[in-house]
Amino acid sequence: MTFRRKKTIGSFYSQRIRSVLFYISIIVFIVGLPLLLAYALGYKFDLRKLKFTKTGLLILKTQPEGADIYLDGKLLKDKTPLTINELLPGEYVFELRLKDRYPWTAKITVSPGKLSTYDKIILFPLRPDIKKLNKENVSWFYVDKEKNAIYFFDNEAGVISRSDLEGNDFELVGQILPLDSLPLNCKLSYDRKKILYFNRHKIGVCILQPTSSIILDLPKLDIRDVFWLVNNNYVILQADKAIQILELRPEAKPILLFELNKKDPSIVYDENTNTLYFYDSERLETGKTFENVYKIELKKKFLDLNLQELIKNKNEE
Amino acid sequence: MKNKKDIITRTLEIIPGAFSWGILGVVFLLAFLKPIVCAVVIISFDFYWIVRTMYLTILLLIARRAISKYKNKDWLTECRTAFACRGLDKIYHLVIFPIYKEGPEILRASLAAIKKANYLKDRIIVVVSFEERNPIAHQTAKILEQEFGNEFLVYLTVYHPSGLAGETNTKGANATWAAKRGKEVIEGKKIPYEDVIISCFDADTCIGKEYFSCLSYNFLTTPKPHQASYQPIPVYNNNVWYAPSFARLVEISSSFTQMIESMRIEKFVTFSSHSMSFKTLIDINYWPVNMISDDSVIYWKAYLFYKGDYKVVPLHVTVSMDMAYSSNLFKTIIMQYKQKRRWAWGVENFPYVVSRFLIDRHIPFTKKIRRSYHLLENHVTWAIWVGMITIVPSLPILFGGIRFNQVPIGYNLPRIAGNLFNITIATSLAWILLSRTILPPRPPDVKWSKNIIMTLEWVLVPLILIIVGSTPALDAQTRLMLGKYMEFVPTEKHRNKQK
Repeated sequence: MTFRRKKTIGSFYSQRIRSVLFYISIIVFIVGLPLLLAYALGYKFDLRKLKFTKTGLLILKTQPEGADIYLDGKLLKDKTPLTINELLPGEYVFELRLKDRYPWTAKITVSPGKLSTYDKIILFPLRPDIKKLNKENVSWFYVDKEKNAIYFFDNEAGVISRSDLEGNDFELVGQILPLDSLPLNCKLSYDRKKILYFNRHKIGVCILQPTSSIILDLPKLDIRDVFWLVNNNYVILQADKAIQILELRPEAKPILLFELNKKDPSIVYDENTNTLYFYDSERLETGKTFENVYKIELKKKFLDLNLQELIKNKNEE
Repeated sequence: MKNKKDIITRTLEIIPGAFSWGILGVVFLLAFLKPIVCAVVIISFDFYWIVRTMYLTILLLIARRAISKYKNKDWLTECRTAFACRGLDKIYHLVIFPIYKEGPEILRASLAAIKKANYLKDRIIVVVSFEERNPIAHQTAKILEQEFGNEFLVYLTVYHPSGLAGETNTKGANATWAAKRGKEVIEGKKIPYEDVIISCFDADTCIGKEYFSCLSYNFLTTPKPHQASYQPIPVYNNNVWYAPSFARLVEISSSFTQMIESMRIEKFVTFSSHSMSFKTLIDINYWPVNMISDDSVIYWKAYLFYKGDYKVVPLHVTVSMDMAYSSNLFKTIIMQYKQKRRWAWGVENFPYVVSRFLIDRHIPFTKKIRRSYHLLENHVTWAIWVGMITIVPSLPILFGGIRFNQVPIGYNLPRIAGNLFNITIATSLAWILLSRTILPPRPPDVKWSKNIIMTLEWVLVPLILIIVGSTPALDAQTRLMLGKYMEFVPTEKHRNKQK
């Protein structure tokens, strides 16, 4: 009951097409896979040596992006950031250029099978972006980063102005008595109601809003630095070979906290813990000198002992 | 103490899952210990997958062309006019519908499609076999008998009793019951078994007009027609315009898979609704009554019976079935997952077939090896491919350490794997275009804009791959490996939205 079959799909012809396709697929796989794996593993056919050579990788990232890349003097079509694959091992001179920026040049050695990463390249501007913040003449300034403010001191006019960090919202905030020379530094109190400025022998204090100003004349001291104490009424003075404390009022006398062996000791005051750290030398009996770091918790040692009373007694002496 | 046969079968049950988990486990370990080797394995697999996808997509195009070519062919005239088909007047078709819970609204369309078929109705015997435990079976049967009782040579309603010795609650048990009742009818009418072609259809199977003619033509023109099954292409068109995107994409992909399989004759195995010689069915003692994957096991039973000289003839006509979906997206995903897991449970064929190959002395050894390999490779690949092209490529990058990331393959792996994945996805374009060609006409109550949705929804493919791509297969293999055997859960049929 079975008879000759006509050609239908699924018959000999379509199966022959399928067989051809199947073998083509096998050939594609057998030929393509080694090439793909060679590429993945970083192998490249070196036309000079006529053999497969293991290449290296190079990653170039710049800040800002978009720099032209010159490889051995030849401009590449891609810009940074760029990963250059299949670089034959050897030394290359790379130059990165971006308009209005200093170029970056380096001799880079590419090793076989290795990745060389240059991802922190900064292309600095030829002329940095400068913005003038002050509006009037400025003698010196103080930056209050926490409150996003800048204090501008005009010694001649005897005023302090304030703006934000962009130089906007200017306002006059205080008047100052001038020192006989330009101050070494100036510092804002923790409550931001006072600002002090000092030179070697004088400390000026400006009380902001309502404004008033005093000058504390300390001719016997050679002031190197001044720190606000946390109560905003006292300061720590770092003088030539001494650490002293001073109430900020006219006629107040500094009291000596420590006499130091070392000249110009390094002092750090931590307002959070009200602790003073300083660096001083110690002479041993053997005659040898040791450098030490000391710590004083001011709250424990002084503030609890009624500091005001201590200073008063000292002044009476 | 288990006997030797049990131990062999149990070992064979473990093999597919062990391979799948073994491959994934080895790749995972390599990512830590030998990331470069791991990367080489990943790139090799991904490239293999691309070549395979391209190859299969071309096969799909050829299969699709074949369906188009024969779509409007008058096979009955072909049978009558061709001198080759003089046996047509002898042929009878026994059609069985094993039914579980499906109601008359599902079956009516299936039976109406047979009624409309371009074939002699007095040559068609229909057996509708309900599960006796289904409380609405008698009611449904009565309705259908009233509508179709006089449309065919014989229309028979039977009820499959529960709890027969050796049976489990599977479709195969019901189908076997139906076939045996059909046999009684055929014997009563004194029709020789060899003149009968049996078609076992799911309840929702709506055949095309030319199905029986095409089937008869192929039966009559195939050398050794009793040593072949006849497999139509299932398309899930019954409710395609109403199904949610997720279900539609999954089922269209399933149709495409079947089209591709129809081109790979040497691997082609029966699936879902199919036909075969009734004589052969009796010779091989019907469908298995205790296995879920009865549709494919029937092929292997025949293959073993005929000592390897058995094949599946692709019928390039379609049968339309229901897409599985539920009332909301989550339930649809769960339903699709369970359906795919049931299909993936076809992995039970591996121990079934190989254990019989071991005792067979007639099938050539190379043939046994090839068929065993195809079975194993098919299921293992199914279980691992999504993981291998989506998750695994990131493992050596994540766990390979600084040294791996500073060698060329460490830099190239994500790019190569990404591009290969994109090419795989790009083949979806071909699938999108093809999907448009297998759609039935848009029903009047569906808006034109649905066409746009049905094109754009293909962007969901990566998500679908992750949910129902490999996971159901891995799930099924793990269950088989652990001896936690699945029970048959029929897929819920939905046409409630269709007007």
